[in-house]
Amino acid sequence: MLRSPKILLIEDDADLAEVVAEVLLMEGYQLSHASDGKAALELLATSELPDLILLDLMMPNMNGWDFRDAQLRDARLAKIPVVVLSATGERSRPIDAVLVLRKPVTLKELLSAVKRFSNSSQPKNNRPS
Amino acid sequence: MKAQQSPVRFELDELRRRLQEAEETLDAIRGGEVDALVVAGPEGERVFTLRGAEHPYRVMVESMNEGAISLSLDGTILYCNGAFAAMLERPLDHVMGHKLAEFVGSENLDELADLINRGHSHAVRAEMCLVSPQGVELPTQISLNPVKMDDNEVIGVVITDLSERRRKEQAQEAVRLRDEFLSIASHELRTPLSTLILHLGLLERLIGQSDPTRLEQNILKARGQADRMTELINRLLDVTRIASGRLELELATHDLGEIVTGIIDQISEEAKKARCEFRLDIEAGIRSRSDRFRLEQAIVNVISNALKYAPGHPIAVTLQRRGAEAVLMVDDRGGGIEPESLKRIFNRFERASSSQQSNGLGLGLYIAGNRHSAWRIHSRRTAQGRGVALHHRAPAALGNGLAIAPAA
Repeated sequence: MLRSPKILLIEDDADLAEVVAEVLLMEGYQLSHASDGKAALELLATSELPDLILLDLMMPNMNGWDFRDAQLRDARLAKIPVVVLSATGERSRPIDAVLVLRKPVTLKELLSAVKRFSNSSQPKNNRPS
Repeated sequence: MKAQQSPVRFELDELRRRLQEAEETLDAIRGGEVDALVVAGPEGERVFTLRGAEHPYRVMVESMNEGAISLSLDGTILYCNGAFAAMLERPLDHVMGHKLAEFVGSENLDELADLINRGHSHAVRAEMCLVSPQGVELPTQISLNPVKMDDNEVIGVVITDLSERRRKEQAQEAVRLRDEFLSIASHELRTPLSTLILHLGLLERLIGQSDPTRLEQNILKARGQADRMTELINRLLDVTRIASGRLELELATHDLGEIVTGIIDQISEEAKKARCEFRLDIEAGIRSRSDRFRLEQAIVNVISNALKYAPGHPIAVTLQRRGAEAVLMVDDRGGGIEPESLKRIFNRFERASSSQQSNGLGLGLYIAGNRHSAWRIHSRRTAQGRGVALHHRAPAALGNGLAIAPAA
């Protein structure tokens, strides 16, 4: 039986996180949530790896850019594709991601991006060592 | 019989006449009225011209845009050009012979005395304000150089008007703040707008499904996001009103303790999420005349700030009477505020942390601290890494204040 893709949402805005979670759960995805980059790294260290990370950029404690740097430095995490959900302007600091979605994002754009990048067949070592 | 004038008396009068003539000539030379001297000698008359040497310098100094002064070692203005007198908006004879210290702001007096002392032997410069008779301050750069003139030691001073440069710097700063504000406002509005759009998308999908509760919840949440955007826009409008002095207050006498405890009740859910526990010490019966809405807004902003920047730490809220003043302290145990940041956090769009670390318009403390809501701010250094204590001082009758003090 096929496992439904697992998404990790890293977003500090509780209202936005809640509605994204409702949308993705309704579409049959599995979802976990961290409210900043630091909490996300802690979660990733102890849980099954997601198929896709949805990443906000401006967050307290550890922002999206620093999270991405830390992720790329960790061989176990580096290959997880990242879709950025950014409210920053066009001239903001660039980030290495498979896609940058600029807020406000529509339901269609969000679901299309999640569907496209969560089905990639990257080999994964799902258990923390 | 009239006594004949003695030869000695005659000689004395002649010497007096020559002395007066010599003094007048010297005065004329000093005053720049003489360009040449004819001196009679054994080899005939000789012409000594001043035009070749001093005159061009005098013309140059008089036509300079910079102020030029020769200063005695004790700081008396021996000579100044027209540009310097114009900077002071005073006639020349109200400047020459006066101390330079009479024309600088009182906060600069010690610095000027030190500058003149060092100017006896070294080239030195500093920036300080000159003050006109109307009290208008003119920012300047003052450069001093020791000058040896025959047996006289004086200090040559050049004064450059920095007001145009300052205006440019202020204009650049205003543009920077505006760009930053537009960027922050845009960011802050995009997030609730995203949430609103996603709720509306969900509602489209849910219509026709037989789950009215879920429909209703999504409508309520969508409305919540619209309210959040309205609140953000109102804050932006408040900033505009504060900046232009058009914020109107509705003053009445209120019980401060009642207001503070009411706010703590309202904010308790937010505090629980931030894992912050309130420790209250509220003295009863303290009343202050304020605009209740603005006062509540200011206190909420200060407490929200503590929740935002010191999550997981207790927040002590103390209201006490100190003499004729009521003092409200909001004291967290978070990361503290860098001394450099302390100077600017009450400005518009400023946050102590970098914009990549933190959301928010950076308006909370600006609105809390603005003088139009009858709050006055005194900031003092806070102990680094030991949290922030915000003091709100309110004279019992009218007027308030907010100060930052080291957390104990």
